[in-house]
Amino acid sequence: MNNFLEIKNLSIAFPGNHLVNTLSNFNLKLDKNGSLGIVGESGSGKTLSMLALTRLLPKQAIVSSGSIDFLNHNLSEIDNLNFYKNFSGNKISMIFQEPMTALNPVYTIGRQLMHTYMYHNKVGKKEAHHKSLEMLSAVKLSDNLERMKQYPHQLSGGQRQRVMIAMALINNPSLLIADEPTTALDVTVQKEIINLIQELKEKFGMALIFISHDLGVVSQVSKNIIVMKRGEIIETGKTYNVLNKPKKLYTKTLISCLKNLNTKRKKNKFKKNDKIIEVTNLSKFYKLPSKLFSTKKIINAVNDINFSVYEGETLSIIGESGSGKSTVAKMLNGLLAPDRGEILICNKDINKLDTKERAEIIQPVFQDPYSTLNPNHTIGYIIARPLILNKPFLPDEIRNLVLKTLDLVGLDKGFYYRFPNQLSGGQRQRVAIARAIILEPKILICDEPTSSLDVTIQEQILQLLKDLKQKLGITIILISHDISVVKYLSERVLVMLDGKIVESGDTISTLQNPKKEYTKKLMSAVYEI
Amino acid sequence: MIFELFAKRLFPQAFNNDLSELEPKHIFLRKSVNHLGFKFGLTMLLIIIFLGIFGPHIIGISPYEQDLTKRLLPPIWVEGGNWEHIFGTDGNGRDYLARILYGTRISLTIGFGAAFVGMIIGISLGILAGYFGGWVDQLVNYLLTCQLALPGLLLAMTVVFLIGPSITVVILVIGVLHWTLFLVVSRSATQRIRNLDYVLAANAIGASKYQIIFSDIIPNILNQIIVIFTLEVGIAILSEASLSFLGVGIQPPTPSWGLLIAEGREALFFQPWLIILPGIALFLLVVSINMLGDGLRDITDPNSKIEIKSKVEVPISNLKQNINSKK
Repeated sequence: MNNFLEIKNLSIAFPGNHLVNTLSNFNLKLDKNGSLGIVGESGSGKTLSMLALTRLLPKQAIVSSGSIDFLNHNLSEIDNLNFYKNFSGNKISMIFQEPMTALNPVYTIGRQLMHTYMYHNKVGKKEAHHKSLEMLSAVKLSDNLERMKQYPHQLSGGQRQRVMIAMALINNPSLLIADEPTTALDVTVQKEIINLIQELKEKFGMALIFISHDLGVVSQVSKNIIVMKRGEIIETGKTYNVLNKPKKLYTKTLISCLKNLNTKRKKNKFKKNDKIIEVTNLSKFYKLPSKLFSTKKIINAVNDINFSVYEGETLSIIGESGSGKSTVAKMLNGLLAPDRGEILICNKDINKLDTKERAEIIQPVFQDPYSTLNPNHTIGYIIARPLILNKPFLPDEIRNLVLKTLDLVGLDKGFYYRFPNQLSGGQRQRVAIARAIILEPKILICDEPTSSLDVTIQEQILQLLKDLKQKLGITIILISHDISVVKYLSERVLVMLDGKIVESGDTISTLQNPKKEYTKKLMSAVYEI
Repeated sequence: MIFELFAKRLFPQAFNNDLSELEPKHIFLRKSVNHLGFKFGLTMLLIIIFLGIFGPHIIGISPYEQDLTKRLLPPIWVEGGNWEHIFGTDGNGRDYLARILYGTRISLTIGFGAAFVGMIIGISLGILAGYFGGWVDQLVNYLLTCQLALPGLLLAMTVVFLIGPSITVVILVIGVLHWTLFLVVSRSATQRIRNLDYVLAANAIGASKYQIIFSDIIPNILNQIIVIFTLEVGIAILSEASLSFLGVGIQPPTPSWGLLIAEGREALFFQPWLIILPGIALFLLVVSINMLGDGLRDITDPNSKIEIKSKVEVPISNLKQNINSKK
């Protein structure tokens, strides 16, 4: 009982047809001032274990066994009222993944901070106000007096996450749990937040549990690591040992997936074929609706960009959210009309092409595997639909082609009559790719095709895209914020910032010797193991 | 049980043990066999429709024949009832069972007809407004506000009074007055779906606006629409009752359930069955339609959690292994 935190044999089950442990035999030991990282894919139970610690488990969850000792208390003997008063928020704090939804949108930042403080400490408003200001400067938010009066929607994602951290630390907890605190943020912001968390950990002398799906980030933050899969602990130990001498197969594949993505490939010798896409002076503005007494605001989503794509190459567009890369993708696809400039595809203006003609030249693959497929259609119909709409084929021919394409993207013919909700994220993305390639287009536009998938699945999908490119000779335009994905797949790269192209050139040389300030910042934010 | 046997007889291939081979229509069948509410609602509605069509012929008594010597006879289970008039007679000595059975036809026609008219108007406007947005949306919203501001019953009375009452007019008037729910629901659902990736993808594979609306939008808002439809059938039948009650709906001596209730009100305290009997009929119809609608929603929604397992031993575990190995 001398440990700061010890969890023994924790098992959690959800009632269903038969009771299956979603989390089984979870063990954990943490010293005061210690740090621990929990890594795993989605559904591996990493968050669940921490929710059990903070008593935030969903109502139907059943804790079937296990004990939690924290600061010499057996937590299972403490009743809820006592727990919420003396432990959660006070000694144990948690930072959540979505800074957008974790703050209450109708109260000011200041009020939320002060209330958190006043709930656990018997202090007046003045003192709470003072403490809140102190915390805001601890998380390095400028103009903190102004910030106190602002509402969450007036802050950026990174700023909100800082406020969340301030709120979590205001009661001086001895344990901070960070549940994927940077997943929803841009890479450069991610680095700042992680540095901040590490700094504050030293300053306040807390213990830290850091949950993430990203092995690179976790290895940076924590001394010890737990690797989880399907509710079980696969491997645990010192971070350095686990990463360099993994004992279990799963850890090895996880690490090799990451390393594969990060391998320094030789410079691809790429013959410059004919130009397949030529973009000149492309611009797109968004007008914000004018309010009473204020002039119309115009946002330059894409501002006067020029580039061309050569047949058979893979071109990547990198940039943070809001840099205009997705807008470019939509315009290239003809789904959005540009305000100025033109896009020539095979020497034809994309916006003057007939939709059917366009469909046979250029096809998109979208980011979110959960909204990319119509939930009411079977997989077979989803893949067949481009053919039904565009080609005068007989039903039998279509069926054969669909089965062939299913095979090409690595899916069994048993998926033909399935509905999208029966498929995993990776399988859905495969179906989306199948739908895009069945018309044999010349160009495939992939808008963050892997950013919502787990690392191992991510590698499989990228491998698939690579294979398809070799087999079919498709030109791929890849939009991504993830440097390793870009490195893995593409020959040339464009770096975008605020609607403009900052830097462009060969992938390897551009990313290894960045010339512009922004590209350097982007590259320094990448964590490698 | 009977339902299941029937389904197995007709579509034996739907009850294979291998779930991965099932076609969508077979899954639909299997889900419906396992949905108690759906089976109950469907059976009851079929019985009501059967009685509506064949009932009057089976009992062979005219609903219009008056016999003033046998006025206000009580039904068979009340003292003084006899087998000649099982449900008793009304104030003019007409057989009440015949009137209720005949009224089934009119109430069903009006309920489904009016809800259908309302649905067509509401969905088309809602999808137009939701999909195209901009000035179309504003125009439709203006129409909606106008409709909501008008006193429905008063308007219905005026229109029926001006045109002259008949079943068709009543159906159209009730339908034209009951599209607001359909509009609101389909508009907001369309707005949500319009921005999803699969609509963009459909656009990219060369589908026209018409094809997107019919293939991507309507199937995905249908779940909500079914629920509204079942509600509206009930509301339409009751509206007809209130129109008839005010004398501008179905004209006597034609029997409709609403009219029967309206006519029975004078005798409420002395011969309560005149109101209770058509009331029960109305209740059963509305309940069966609601259960059917709820069931249809659950069954057609591919995300619903109804098991497609049936009494036949289905090796679910095998299937799971298959899926896993296919990864």
